[in-house]
Amino acid sequence: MPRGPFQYLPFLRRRRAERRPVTAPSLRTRTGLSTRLSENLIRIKETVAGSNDIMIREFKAGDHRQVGAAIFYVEGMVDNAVVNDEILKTIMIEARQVHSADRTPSHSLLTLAKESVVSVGDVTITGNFDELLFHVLSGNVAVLFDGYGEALVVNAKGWEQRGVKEPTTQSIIRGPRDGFTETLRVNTALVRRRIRDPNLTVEISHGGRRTKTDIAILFIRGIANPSIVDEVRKRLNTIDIDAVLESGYIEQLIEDNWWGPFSTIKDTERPDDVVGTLLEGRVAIMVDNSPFALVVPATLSSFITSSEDYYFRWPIATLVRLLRYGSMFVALTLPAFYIALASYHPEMIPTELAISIAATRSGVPFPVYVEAFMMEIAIELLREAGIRLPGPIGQTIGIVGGLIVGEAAVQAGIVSPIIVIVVATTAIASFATPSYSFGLGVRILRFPLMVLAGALGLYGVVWGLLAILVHLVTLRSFGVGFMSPFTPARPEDIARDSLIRLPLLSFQRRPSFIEPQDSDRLDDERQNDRVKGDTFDNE
Amino acid sequence: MTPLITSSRVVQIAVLLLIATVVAGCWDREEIDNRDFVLSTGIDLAGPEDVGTDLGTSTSPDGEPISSSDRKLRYTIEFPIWRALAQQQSGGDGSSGQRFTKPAQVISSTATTVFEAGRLMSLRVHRRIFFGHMDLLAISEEVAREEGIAQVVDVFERDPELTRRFVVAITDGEARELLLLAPKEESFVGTYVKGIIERREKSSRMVNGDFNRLLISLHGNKSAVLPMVRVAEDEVVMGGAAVIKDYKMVGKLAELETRGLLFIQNRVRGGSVVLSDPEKPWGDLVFQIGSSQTRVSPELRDGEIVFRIDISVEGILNEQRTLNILWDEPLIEQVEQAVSGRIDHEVRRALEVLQNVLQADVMGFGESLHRNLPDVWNHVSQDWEETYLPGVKAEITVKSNVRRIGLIR
Repeated sequence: MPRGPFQYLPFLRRRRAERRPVTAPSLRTRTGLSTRLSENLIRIKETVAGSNDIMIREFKAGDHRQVGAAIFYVEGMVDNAVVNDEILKTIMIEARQVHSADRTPSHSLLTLAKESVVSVGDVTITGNFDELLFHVLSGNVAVLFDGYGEALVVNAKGWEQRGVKEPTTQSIIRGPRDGFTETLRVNTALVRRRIRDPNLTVEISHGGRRTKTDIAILFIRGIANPSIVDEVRKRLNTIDIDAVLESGYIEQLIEDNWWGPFSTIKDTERPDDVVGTLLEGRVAIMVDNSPFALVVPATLSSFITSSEDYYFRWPIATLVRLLRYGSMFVALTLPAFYIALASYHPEMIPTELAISIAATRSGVPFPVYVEAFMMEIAIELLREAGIRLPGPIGQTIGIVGGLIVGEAAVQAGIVSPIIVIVVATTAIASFATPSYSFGLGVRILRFPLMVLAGALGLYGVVWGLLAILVHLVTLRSFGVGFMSPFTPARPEDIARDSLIRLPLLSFQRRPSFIEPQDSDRLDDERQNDRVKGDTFDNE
Repeated sequence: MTPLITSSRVVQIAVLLLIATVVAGCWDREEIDNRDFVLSTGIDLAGPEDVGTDLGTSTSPDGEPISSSDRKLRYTIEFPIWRALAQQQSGGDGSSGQRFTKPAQVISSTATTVFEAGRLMSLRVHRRIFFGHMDLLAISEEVAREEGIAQVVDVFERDPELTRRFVVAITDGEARELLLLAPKEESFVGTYVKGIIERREKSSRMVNGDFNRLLISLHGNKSAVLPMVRVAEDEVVMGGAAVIKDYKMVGKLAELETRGLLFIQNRVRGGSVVLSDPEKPWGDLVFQIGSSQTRVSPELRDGEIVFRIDISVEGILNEQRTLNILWDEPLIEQVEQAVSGRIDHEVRRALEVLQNVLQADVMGFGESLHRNLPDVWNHVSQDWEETYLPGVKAEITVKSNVRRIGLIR
């Protein structure tokens, strides 16, 4: 075994090529059901070992109530009305017409129940014990009959769930207000409702040996680049973990680069955002129990983009885009620049300002970088504490921490007013990035830049920025360069939808760096006809 | 045979590059408030009161006093007092009596040379003295005339900390006196003087004292013009120009002579020409220069060097003693001619002083000759200012144009 610095971190040694595809093992083992109901029930009871949320109810069915039957479900995960009215009632009462002696397949109690008794849309038959168990644990209802080696699986899912609410991390002014919820089916429906195209494909797989969480891959056949779709499938297949609790698990397990501060997979709470990216030829991944959908491939520009940009007219969208890029830079570098200028290069500050800074700093006992670190840490504390604290108290703490403590610190001469302005501006700028997870990367990198500024001045800041730039251009997300379309340069994409957003009429093609199968988007011929034809004079 | 680039060599180069990147960092970290920002510097000749000011004077075994008693230069700096400024900012209008005390300190040291005097400042100032924001270098007329400005300029040219955008001015009296001045609405003399210089186009009666331009001029032909500044009671007054020749001040130009020089140099951007003739219908009249363009071209005519100076001035009428409106064309033409005459006079005055009295080529005639008639220049360059410059003929034509009469009625 090679000895190296990473020998104690075995996961580092495993290269991506060695990741082997994993199939969910338990689903494949062929253990058929017994034809005797009592045996099946005993086996079920043994398997679930006394969990009292699992309901097994035995009853008699058939014309003379001579056929033993049982339904088996998890309480709380099924809709009781469906279970009572559509399953129990129908089988108990209406199945009496069935002759128990008639065991021909077309007249068997099982097929009859499926075909003409149970009035629920999603009904399947399975003869596999593990599959049955999986369905029941997912919230379906199993109906077993004595004398049949198969069971009826009825979809009666119905648990308490959070409704569709406005997304909290990606609020917008103009645009739909709905956000994803924790239920995968609701989420896929939110997307499907926006694309009435049969080519919208929703592929379900399962992840997590124990949780067996539903994972959906969404893409539009004929637009999405098949190689990206294949890559997504391949990477999802390599996941072999006991539990997938949130899409963050999937994100971290399939991302291209797990060392850097930046996420190479975009997460979003907005269905319209997902639909927009699907139409660009990207692929979305949704995970049950998570209101955050993942979108690949992600680029820097996709993190700076908000779906609102396409709903507003283009001049304001462009202005806002530029503002966001600017604020990203400010959030990353402002404290570092302040440290560098105030400690090393006061000649670069305009004279009046330099005098003012020096005057307000006189009497402050710490060097600028200590001051800046103190305030940045205080702000980070406020941010973290603000998330933990319950709503109304959070606001109070924000005011007390931000205003009162800040003001008092200045009055006491611990910090200068300028640093309060710098830190506050930085904090505000860091919230202007539409993507919270990308903002986190910027938030982390601010600190190494501050260290470099404190140690080497502007020279260090420039080196740090260069290193970040080098890192960014080497990043890839599912085969697409992270800095696309800037580098590798795609002039048409840069012009249309990057730093600036041109009018929608110019969106004749989908972004080329994703290499969609069908790149035609908009045909402006009719619009041009309208402009030329001067419709108002036609009468 | 080993290949030219081995892996160990790659490592070596990589290590060298890494060291280079780290070692080259900025090493002079000094917090902004631990620096004293010198806003103006003054250079005077040391007076008798400055001799023997050092504390370490002692007598050596052979009886000679060991001190720098042959001190020649007094070096004065003005820098803000951070605490005073901070109090002013936070205190606001509270103590109105203290508002006009100057929040700056003026400290002098003396030595034989400028650089040494600057170094000796560290005996008197406890912070790092920082020149990155210097606005004004004031040199007293005494120094400029007797010592010359070469060594002063040299020290400041060598200092990498300085920007070259500060103003160099010659003070009528002592430079220290100027630095001690407390202007009423500005805290620092340097900023005040720089502000006046930036407004010079309102009058065109003084020159620009930009350090960079001074260096270009001095490195060109050792001569230059610098603005004059004077302390009058508690005010700063500027105007006119000091003429430097061979690094030494040789004389002054009056305000209007200065404007004549600026006309030749094509640097007039404003100012006003006053016509005063009670016999004309306008009485007193002010022509405000809006723009001015000068072309200087040397010619060789019958063995004589002739400089053609074509000035065209455009402007508006701004003030008039009488209320006769100058509507008609002939009257306007008369005004234009009168204005041209005034400007012609100013230029002639300037040329006479510079060519004959001071014999200093601050107009840049030599350079113009060098560019346009290099053969002639080669012939005369040896003894240009003393021998040939006074004999140069100037053909001045001024065209004035009254663009607007400045009245609507």
